[in-house]
Amino acid sequence: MFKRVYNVLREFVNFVRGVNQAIIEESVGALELEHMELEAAFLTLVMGSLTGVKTIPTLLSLELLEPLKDELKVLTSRAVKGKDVLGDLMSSLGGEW
Amino acid sequence: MIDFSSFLQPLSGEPHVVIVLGKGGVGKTSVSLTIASELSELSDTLLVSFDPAKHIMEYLDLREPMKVVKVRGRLHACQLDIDLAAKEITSKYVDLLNEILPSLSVLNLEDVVKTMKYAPGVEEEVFLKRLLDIYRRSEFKYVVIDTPPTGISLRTLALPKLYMIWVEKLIEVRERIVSLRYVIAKTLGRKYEVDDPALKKLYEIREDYKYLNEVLKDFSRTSYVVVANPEPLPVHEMKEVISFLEGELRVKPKLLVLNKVLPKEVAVKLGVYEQQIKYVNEVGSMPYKSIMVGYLSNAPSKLDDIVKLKEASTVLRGGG
Ligand SMILES: Nc1ncnc2c1ncn2[C@@H]1O[C@H](COP(=O)(O)OP(=O)(O)OP(=O)(O)O)[C@@H](O)[C@H]1O
Ligand SMILES: [Mg+2]
Repeated sequence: MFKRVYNVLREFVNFVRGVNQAIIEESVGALELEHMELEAAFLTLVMGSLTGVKTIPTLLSLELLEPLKDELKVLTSRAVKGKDVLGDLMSSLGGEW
Repeated sequence: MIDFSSFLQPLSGEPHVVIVLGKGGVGKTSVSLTIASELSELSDTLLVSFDPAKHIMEYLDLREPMKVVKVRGRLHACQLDIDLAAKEITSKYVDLLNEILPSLSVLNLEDVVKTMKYAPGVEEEVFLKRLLDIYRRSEFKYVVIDTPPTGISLRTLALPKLYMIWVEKLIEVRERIVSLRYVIAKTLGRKYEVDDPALKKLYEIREDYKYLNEVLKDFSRTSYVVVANPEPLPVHEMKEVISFLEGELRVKPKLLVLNKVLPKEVAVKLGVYEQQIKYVNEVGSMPYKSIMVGYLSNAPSKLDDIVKLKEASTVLRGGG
């Protein structure tokens, strides 16, 4: 009897843990997506004037080149390789599509 | 003989910057030179010409732009060359651009940098950078700036405010990115580098322009002198400049100079006497100190000529 209650409880705890983990993963996924989008938006804002879209003052873009070097490289490679942009978006949203 | 600089009190700040504005050809360079030469009697003074026409170089017989040259006593001068200055700034970024945006190297990268200076606003940005340098690290007590055509000058003076708006916006987005990164890393139990170099740079830039915005509005650190001739367009432009200063920067000009006022007989003969009187009265009735300078039969063209310019000057409106 006691053992059975214990097992049920343990399973329940495991279940909650699993749900928790799922929730965490889900929300981190959502955060990650927002983060990625914001990052792209930020870099586009910053470097727009170098690519023909007059957004921010040119010298300001130049000054931010150095600190954003690594991110920019990732962005440009993503822009080149990312053929299936929609697919990427959907899979990062998760679920059945 | 009138002392132009005595109208510019208070002259505090290290450096105190005098910005001379006005329509092309009215006598900005002559007035800048007069003020700089007077101030150099008091302390180390730098006359900087932002004017692309480079008249200062003829006036002072300067050979090379971008170099600070000792002229006489404690008077120094420097002619800014916008092309050289822009090149100096942008050339630092050629390699970096090549590395980061290889797609740009399809175009010739040298060309990208070369043409960058023709992009709208870049000239003003270059002036602004110089201005920041002048306020931030000048070894001179006084700096007098001879300005380019009014449009560029006013856009340059308006730029710090615009810059601040952009920088604030970027900081907002960047801070959100950094905090998201932190949350993600923390949740996943990863290590996270808190220092964000881009955010740091943005804070630095914000500080710079906030500072510039403040000193440009500070009556005791920056003096604005507006020059005109007693003619319709120059006076119109003088009024535009004043309304910009008061509207955008919320600062008053310290001195108005009405230059090239013809002797009565000559003005009558040319049929411009009525007009001249009208503008003398108009400028004299504006609520700022003002000086009137007579037309010299020999156009001033060298440093020694400024004595004659001062001798031909009278006070239009003094005191408060
Ligand atoms: N009071 C004066 N009487 C006669 N000529 C003058 C007087 N003041 C200036 N000039 C002459 O007028 C011309 C223009 O003067 P100056 O170069 O000082 O004006 P500026 O506003 O700097 O012009 P720019 O916009 O071309 O730089 C020069 O040839 C100068 O010698
Ligand atoms: Mg000039």
